[in-house]
Amino acid sequence: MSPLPRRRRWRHPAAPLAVVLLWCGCRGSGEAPPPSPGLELHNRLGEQRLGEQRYALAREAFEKGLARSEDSVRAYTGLTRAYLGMGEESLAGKMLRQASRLDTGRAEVCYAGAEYCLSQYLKTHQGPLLEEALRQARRAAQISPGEKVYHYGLGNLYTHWGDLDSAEAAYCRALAVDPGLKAAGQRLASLYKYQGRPAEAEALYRRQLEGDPEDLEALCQLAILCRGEGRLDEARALLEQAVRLDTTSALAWLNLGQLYLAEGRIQEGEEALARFQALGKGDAAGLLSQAEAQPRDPRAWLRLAEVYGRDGHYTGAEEAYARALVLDPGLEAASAGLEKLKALPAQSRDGR
Amino acid sequence: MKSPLLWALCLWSCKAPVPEPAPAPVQVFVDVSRQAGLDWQHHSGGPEKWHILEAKGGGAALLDYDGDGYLDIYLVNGSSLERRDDPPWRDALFRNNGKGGFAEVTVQAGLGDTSWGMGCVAADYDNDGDTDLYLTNSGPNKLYRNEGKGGFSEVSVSAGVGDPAWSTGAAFGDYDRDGDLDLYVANYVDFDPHLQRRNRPFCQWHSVEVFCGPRSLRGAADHLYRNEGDGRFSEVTAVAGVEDRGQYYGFAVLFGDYDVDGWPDLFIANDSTPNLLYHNEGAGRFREVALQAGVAYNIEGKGQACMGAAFGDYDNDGYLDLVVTNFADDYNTLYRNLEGRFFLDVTMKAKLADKSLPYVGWGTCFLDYDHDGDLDLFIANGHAYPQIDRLRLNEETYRQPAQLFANLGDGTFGEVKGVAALRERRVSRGACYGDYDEDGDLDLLLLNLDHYPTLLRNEGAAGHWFMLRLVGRRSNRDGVGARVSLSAGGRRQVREVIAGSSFLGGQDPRVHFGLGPYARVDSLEVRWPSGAVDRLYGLEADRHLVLEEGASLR
Repeated sequence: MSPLPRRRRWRHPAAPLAVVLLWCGCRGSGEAPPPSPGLELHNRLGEQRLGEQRYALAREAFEKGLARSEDSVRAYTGLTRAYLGMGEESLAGKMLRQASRLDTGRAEVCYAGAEYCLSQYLKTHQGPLLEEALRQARRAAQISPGEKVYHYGLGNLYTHWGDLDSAEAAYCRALAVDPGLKAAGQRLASLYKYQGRPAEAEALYRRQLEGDPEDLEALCQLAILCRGEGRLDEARALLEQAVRLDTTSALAWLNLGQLYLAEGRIQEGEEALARFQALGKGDAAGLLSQAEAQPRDPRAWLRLAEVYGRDGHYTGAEEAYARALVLDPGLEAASAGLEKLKALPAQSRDGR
Repeated sequence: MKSPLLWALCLWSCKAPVPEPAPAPVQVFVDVSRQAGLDWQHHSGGPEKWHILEAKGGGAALLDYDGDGYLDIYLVNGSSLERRDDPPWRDALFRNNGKGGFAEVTVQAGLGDTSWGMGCVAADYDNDGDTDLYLTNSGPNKLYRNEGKGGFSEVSVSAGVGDPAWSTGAAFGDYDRDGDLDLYVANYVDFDPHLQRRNRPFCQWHSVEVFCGPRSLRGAADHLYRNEGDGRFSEVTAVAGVEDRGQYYGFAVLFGDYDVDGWPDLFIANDSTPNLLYHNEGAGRFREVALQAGVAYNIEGKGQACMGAAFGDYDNDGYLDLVVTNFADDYNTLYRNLEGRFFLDVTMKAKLADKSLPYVGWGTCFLDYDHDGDLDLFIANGHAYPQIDRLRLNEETYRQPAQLFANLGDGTFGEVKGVAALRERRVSRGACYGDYDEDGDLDLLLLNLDHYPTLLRNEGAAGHWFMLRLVGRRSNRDGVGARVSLSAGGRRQVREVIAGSSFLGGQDPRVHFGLGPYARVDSLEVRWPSGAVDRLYGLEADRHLVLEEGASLR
């Protein structure tokens, strides 16, 4: 049972834009009251769970915090974000209103309001909601400049809006607060890469690798940068390290295969590209050739079926799954894939 | 003055240095569509574009159909699902009057196809000295033979190239080097509007409901037609090894000899599926090498939603590089050709990646718009989904500006900004270049969805130039596939003669070179598809020349 009484019926999505904007709103500039020592455990746990995107657990923690009289604004805003993560938008709206009633000026309220506005924007496509989300997130970051999540979230909003310069500044602020914030580092590095600033991207990937030498994403991205710069020995070493760490890294196999071929190491190159294709990331034609060359291998047909499914070629996928199951009736991935296909609406499967 | 804000403003205004006025941007291209008389509108279904077919066309071509030395314009029209059986719209041919104006001559020329048109490509497939026209449609394609007196006759059935699928890109090239032009046709999807629903998983973009993309549809296989030299073509797709076994969603088709072995290879840009690169092995056979050559996916391993494509040697190393345009939230990919062995995605290094993220790119071409001796890059943009405007995003809108990137000569490109004719937002699709006013620089033609075409006259080229039309004797008459190397001022540039490029369209059949400050071409070498090589020395710049195989200049 929800510990929160129902007060007003939330009529989303028909609620007028002005009402939604009002509820999104944080006004004032109040600081959060100092936390009562020993009473913040659940809220802290909830925020940790939010960071891990484990929204149901986050909700549980915040509800416990409320029940034990922890900082209720923080708990309500936490619940807002947890419910948004769970897709329970009307409940998220209720929580946000509760938080706003208690204190509209706190950074948590602004940030939860930003996330709520964004969710409403994605649902209703009303431009002012996105602008309001940006305003709220900016406000949250101004009130609590030491809170990395607000800067990171603001960066994501700017990216969504298409303002990459402001996104860069926001990610930089997040990293200034916490240089180890991996998500912000990755986003910023990617942004630098796209802007043709390889040295800055490289510095960030290297910093990530200092923190975690087995960071696969950083290894691959750094290798790609090195390839682009013509530092092929370095790129090769990074990619070889990546495939040693994770033999299922399609991106590493693709780049490694092409690098070997460019160096004239034909057999190694072909083998690496075959690994790339075998991971189901390859093209359907290549996988069809492989399956036809090994017609008794159920996994070859399974890989083909998965790529057909990915490409929307559902009849082909169905046939390939069926062939895989004839060869190995116990192949669970094939049964599951076939079931998934059958669950698609009839027109979706026939409308090709 | 009590308000703190006003005080702050005052203090700022007192201390701030007076900014220098920004120099007025040079209007390198000027929109002359209206005065040129291109009074014709493209139509493609309803304004909401609830079906994929309504959003994908169409193309345009610059061709000299009447042989008067001036480029004419062919524009491909769409249709609507409701009026497909009784279409009120048709394609159009506009004749260049040689004074900067055009007049529609569609009916007089025996043209005016009313199919749901997609693209067009022009070339002299029957080697009779005039330019023929091939049209791709959603429905049977059309081949129009130029009868030589300003009129065309439709010969699709007798020629055997009336491909009934939904065709998109097409290109002519002499893949078997037998002296006549063969034809490759890319097909997109099997489309039945009655079966395409709107509310399937692939029918959202940024959470807005939009038409279903190709992934919900079966891809249609491409076809290669060999010219038999007697007016007929034979379908040789399987024999030649270009079967498109994955039935990818084909768009742009390019013939080009990327490894400089003398045999034209074939690149197909596919939407949402890996691209294809067929290496010509000689003896009428190709081998698919896109994955190995590095152009199936971008460097991040992503099969992109590719639309248009163009070959061009932007780094003047003698090898054809490749540009492919893509969907929004992704970048248009620049592949640098590494000595004919491999392509490397250098988009980020070239400082092009972030520039295209909000835009959906279609037509594209390499052209030396400023005559500085290296190839610049043009991209026509326009979103696929009108619904995107509801999101009020910063730049990702339905109508989008075109983009011109100047080659900075160090492997990077800089966007040419402040040009009003480029900044204007349109929903462009096809884009082609050509010197329609015979002033020696390259102009641009855009086909805009549901709108008037745009003709952009080049007014920004300052340096010297050189243009060459080839006439084959043993080779195909248009010299398609010929490789032209020019040296001026110690710089060597290479072009290939093409028929079919960009997005669903055709370019000026001549090759164009910017020479910068050099008023003289030191040497010119033409390697013809027949294998013959012609060399000329000490030519004056700023001239349109015609070279017949065997080195006789006109």
